[in-house]
Amino acid sequence: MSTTSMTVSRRTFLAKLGLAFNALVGGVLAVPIVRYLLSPVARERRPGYESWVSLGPVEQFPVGETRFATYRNPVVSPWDGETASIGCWVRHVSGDTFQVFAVNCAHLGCPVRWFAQSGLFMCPCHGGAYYADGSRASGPPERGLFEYRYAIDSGHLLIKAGEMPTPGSLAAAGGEQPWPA
Amino acid sequence: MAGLIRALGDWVDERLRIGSSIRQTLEHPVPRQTASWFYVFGSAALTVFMLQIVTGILLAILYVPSAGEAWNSLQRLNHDVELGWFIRALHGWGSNFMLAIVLIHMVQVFMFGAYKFPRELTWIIGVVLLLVTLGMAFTGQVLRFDQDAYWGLGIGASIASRIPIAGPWLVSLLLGGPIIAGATLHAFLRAARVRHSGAADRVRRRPCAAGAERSESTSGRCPVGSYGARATCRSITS
Repeated sequence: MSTTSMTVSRRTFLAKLGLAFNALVGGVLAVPIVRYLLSPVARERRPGYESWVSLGPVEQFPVGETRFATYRNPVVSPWDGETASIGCWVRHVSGDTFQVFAVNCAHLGCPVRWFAQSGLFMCPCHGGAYYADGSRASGPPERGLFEYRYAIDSGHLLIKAGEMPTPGSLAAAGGEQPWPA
Repeated sequence: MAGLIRALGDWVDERLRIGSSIRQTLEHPVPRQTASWFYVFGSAALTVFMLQIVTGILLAILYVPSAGEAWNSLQRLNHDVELGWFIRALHGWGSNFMLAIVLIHMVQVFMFGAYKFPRELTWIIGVVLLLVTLGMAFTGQVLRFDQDAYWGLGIGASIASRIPIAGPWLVSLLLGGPIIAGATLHAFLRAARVRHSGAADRVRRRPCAAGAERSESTSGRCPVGSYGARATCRSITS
C-alpha cells in the first residue's frame, strides 16, 4: 500500500473482495466444524453425563466389609462393549451409612484394589495407598479416593455416576462443585 | 495488528520461500478472453474435494466400521452429536456436487477443445480421475450400510459377475467373501481410503486454453497456432 496515493486500484479492490469472500466462506464452514468437534464438551454441560444408577440390593454389601461392584454407565453406545461396565468399591459402614469409592486412583486413574488383610486400597501403578475410609495413606496421590454420592431407595443402593472421576472434575468432588460457583 | 500478521508472515516466508511463487502464479498474465467463469470448474472440483476430505475425516471420528453398528453409529451422529447431521449432510451433498462439477468440467474441456495437443495426457488423467470420483461416490454410499447400500452392492456384484471369465472371481473380491456382510464393508472402507488418498493428485493446473505456456519467452502473447492465438494476450492488470 502506497502512502502517497490514496486511490485504490480496481485490481487491489477485487483481490481484497475475493479474499474477504474466502474468509467469509471459511468462517461459515469453521463454525459448525468447531462446534461438532466440541460436541463432547457441550454434552458435558447440558444435559450432563451423571445420573442415579443402582448397584443392587443393600443385602449384597455386608456391614463392616468392602465389596467390589459394577454398574452399567448411564451414557453408553451399543458398541462400547465391556468398557461400558464400570467398577467401584462399596464400604458398608453401618446401617444406612455407606462409602462408595471410584475404582480410579486419585493420582493417574489406575484401578485400585482393596486388600482386607492390610486394610488398604492399593494402586498397582505408582504405589498409591489409601485407608479403609478412602483417605490418603501414602504414595503420589494428593488426596483421598473419589467418592460417589449415594442414596438408598426401596432396599437398593444407588450412586450418582456417569463420568470418570479425574482430579478437578465435578465427579471427583462427589458431584458437588469443587470451587465456589 | 496488521503489522504483526505481516511480520509473522514474513518470518515464515523467509524460511519457506513460497510466497514469491504463489505471487507469480496469481499475477501471471492471461489473455482477456480466458478470464472467464468457464474455467472455474477445475478449481471448484478441487475445492469440493478438499471439503470432502475435511468432512470425511470429521465423520470418521465417530463412524463405526462394522456391519452391525455402522447404521446405528450414523443415527447417533445425526441425533446425539452437535451439528453431526450438518457435517454428514455437507459430506453427502458434497459428494453429489463433486460429481456434478467434474462432469461439467469435462464438458467444458471437451467443448473448448482443451484436450488437444499437447494436453491429451491431461485429458486421459482427467478420465481416470472421473472414474476415481465415481468410485469414491459408490464406496462412500456403501459405508452407510443401509438398505440402499446393501442392495446397491447387490447391483454392483451382479454387474461385475457379467464380466467374462473373471466375473465370479471379481464378485468374491468385491464382496470380500461369499455374501454382502461385514467383510464387504471393510473391503469398501479400504477401497474408499485408498481411492481418497490416490485422488490427491487431482491437484493440477487449471488449463486456461489449449496451447503452450504464455510466458516471458513468448512476450506474453499466445504462440501462433494455439487456441488463444487470435487473442491479444494482455495482463488483467492493465
